[in-house]
Amino acid sequence: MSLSFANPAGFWALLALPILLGIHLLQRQSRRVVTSTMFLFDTLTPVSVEGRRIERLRNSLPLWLQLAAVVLLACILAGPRWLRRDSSQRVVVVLDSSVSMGAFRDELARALPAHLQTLTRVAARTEWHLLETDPARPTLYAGTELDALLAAAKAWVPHLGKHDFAPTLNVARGLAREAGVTVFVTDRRTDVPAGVEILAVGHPLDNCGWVGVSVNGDRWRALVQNHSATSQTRSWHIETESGASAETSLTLAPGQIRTLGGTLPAGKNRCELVLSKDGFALDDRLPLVRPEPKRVALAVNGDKSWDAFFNHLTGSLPDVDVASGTARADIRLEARAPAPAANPAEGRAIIFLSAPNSTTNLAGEPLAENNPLTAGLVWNGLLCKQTDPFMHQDGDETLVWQGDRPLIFLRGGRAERSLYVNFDVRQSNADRLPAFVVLLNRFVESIRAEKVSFERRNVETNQALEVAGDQAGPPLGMSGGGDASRAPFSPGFFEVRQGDRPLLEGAAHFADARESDFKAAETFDTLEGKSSQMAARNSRDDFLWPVLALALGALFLANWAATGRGPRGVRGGVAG
Amino acid sequence: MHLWPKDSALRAIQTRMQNAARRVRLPLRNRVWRGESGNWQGAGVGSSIDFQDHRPYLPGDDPRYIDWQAYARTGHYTMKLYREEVSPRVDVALDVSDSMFFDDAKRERALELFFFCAESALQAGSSLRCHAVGTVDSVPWTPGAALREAEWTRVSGPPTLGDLSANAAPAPPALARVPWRQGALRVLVSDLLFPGSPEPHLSLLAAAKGRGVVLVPYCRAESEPDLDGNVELADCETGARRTQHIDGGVLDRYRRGYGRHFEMWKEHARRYAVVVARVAAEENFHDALRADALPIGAVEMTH
Repeated sequence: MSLSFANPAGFWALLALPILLGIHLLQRQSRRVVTSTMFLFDTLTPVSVEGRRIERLRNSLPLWLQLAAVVLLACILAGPRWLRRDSSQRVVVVLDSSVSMGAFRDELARALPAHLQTLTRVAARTEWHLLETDPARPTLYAGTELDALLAAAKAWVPHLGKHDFAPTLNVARGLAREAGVTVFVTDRRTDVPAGVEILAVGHPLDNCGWVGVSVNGDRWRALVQNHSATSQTRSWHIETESGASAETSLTLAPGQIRTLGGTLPAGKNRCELVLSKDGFALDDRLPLVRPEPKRVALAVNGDKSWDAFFNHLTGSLPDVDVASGTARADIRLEARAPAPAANPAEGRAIIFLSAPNSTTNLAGEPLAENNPLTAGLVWNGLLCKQTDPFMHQDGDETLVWQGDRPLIFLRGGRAERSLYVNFDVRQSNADRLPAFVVLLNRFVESIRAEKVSFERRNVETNQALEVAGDQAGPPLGMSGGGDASRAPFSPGFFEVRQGDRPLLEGAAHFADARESDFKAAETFDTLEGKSSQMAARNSRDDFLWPVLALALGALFLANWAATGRGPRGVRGGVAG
Repeated sequence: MHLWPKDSALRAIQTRMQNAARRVRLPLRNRVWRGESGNWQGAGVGSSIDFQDHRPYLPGDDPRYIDWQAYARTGHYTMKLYREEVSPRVDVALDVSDSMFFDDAKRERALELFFFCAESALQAGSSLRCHAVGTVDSVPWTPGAALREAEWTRVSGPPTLGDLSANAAPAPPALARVPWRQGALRVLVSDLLFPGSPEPHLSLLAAAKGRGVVLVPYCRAESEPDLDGNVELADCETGARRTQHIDGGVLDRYRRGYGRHFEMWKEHARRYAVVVARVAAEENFHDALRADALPIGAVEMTH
């Protein structure tokens, strides 16, 4: 059995020791006493120097008795208990995966051992589990070695933005069970499920950082924000492979967001905006690349009556080229009569119904199916004429209905999927309806996304990446060996390749402003009461407690007698 | 300023001691005294009815004490001698130093002892002389009369203005200035609280066939001082001051020193056949006498 204390706060009573010594050092104000036996006192020593307030500590019995009484009292208040040999507990430590925790790695390295050592002492055997709040990550450690857990925590790197802790904390609670402890390590006060203790290791930081960027051609515009509660002055500059620009000073009021702009260095496809360092480094550097989107080649096939519409449509689609022939086109824009039958298109296309003029409107309200292409689009107000339609075929996937007529549908397999517009847009107001324009854009963008081609773009850290590769080719690979489906966790440049073929050159920047705000960060913990509770559960009372109490009483009595306030008989009488 | 009791208080003390002296008295029994004729057995030949001795007549002897019956039998003049009856001489000296009067209980006990001695001597038919003795001189003093300021100044010297040096010690009573009578019972009422050897003082009490008795009033403030922590001590006689931190250890050493002081007096007193008896101030008068004075013969029961 080993000794533990149910109420370690009781040791605060030891603070009485220096106070007691101070009292003994401090000479009390003398009171004047008239005596007839002064000549007997003349033989005694020491004599205090008159007027001196602090004097040398006297080695007296009352002093030692009082010091011993204080120590004994502290022991009693601390509640010594003996751990049961068969006691065990399970401690589940959950680390907050928010990137803001990265600013407090040193604090975490100091606080975690101290608090967990305390928990170690409240049971004979402790089983440790170390998780992080990213449910996609595996358990960091499970075992009985605290040092191994601390090593795993030291090697751990937070990577998520603002996220929900509850799923992982609920898993941790279930793991700890009723007899265990769940400790959530974070950097600020937060609501946690019942039974979860918090160990917060943060503190407010005066953080300024980049919160966003947009690049249009050679021009870039970046946002920098002061997240602190006080005015901050920083400097910033642009770094490229060949050098750095001059430092520019920047003063931001509390909470202020300022837009900075400039031109990308000539001949350079990548550069980095650098803000002077502060306590949170993730948002101090903003890498960016000159965007180079994948271009989509369009082929237009229609009579002259469609020229105006097609010109208007192609002009509204970004990053597209109008090809001269259909062979190299990624997508065809085609106007086609409904009769005799709408043949499947060869390759991807947007097929528009070309029909004779009609004076009759289609009856009914347009109704959209649940599809990513139509998500969130409002079709009210669409007016279409009653014309002969494309004939419906098995396998068609209708996107928008009007009455029982499929107004817009998809046809064909993945490689030859075409969008059919089953009404004459020239006789409708569709080209002025946002939903219709957005639908066409989404369809073109879906084709662009599936196109295997090189692109260069700016993304946020940990952003999901959709990079189209050759199905028959080797798997996609991220520069540095990471997962090609997500941008890196840390700001920086990266490249996605398929074999030797570069598919994506990107720059990942940190842009989660919620994680950059450290005003609410603080240090506290709720473990103290839990430690006492666990200690009480896993131990039994010290059988010496009554002895300690009696000894304390004896010390008080002895001190009472030694200080001359006790009964005369205790000190002996005077001879004669 | 000496806190001398009012006349009414003195009379009350005197009355109490008159009663007390009927039960306890000074140690006059079992001793041979010299002095004027009286009721106590004297050392010489006198006119009492107690036969003492026969001896041959010598020229100059009082012819009234010739034993004529013996002359008829032997034809020689023979003197029949009877015990002399005398009135014992009792000299009582009261130490009037300030230490005797600084504490109320001690002051009253000192005066009680003084009046007890005087009343005891008077009731025994003794030849009584009283003196007030200070550190400089002594004056004859009638019990019950208040000492005048001039007499205080005469016996105690001019009042001190407070000698602030810690080494200033209280002076002993000027016993050499007391006109002790030969063969007298010399009673000194003093607290003996002054440093130095007791021998010069005891020798004065025992000189000229005198028999010395010292009655020592003391109070609890002296024997068991209730002191703790830092105290500025002021001597009641010299005014000397001393700052002293007092704890249990210091008190223990003080008590040992206090006890040694009186043991020293008693040890030296035995050499001079002087009886030193301590009388507590806080106890009943008879109880206080019974504690020490009665067992060692400083006083005796009247019956």
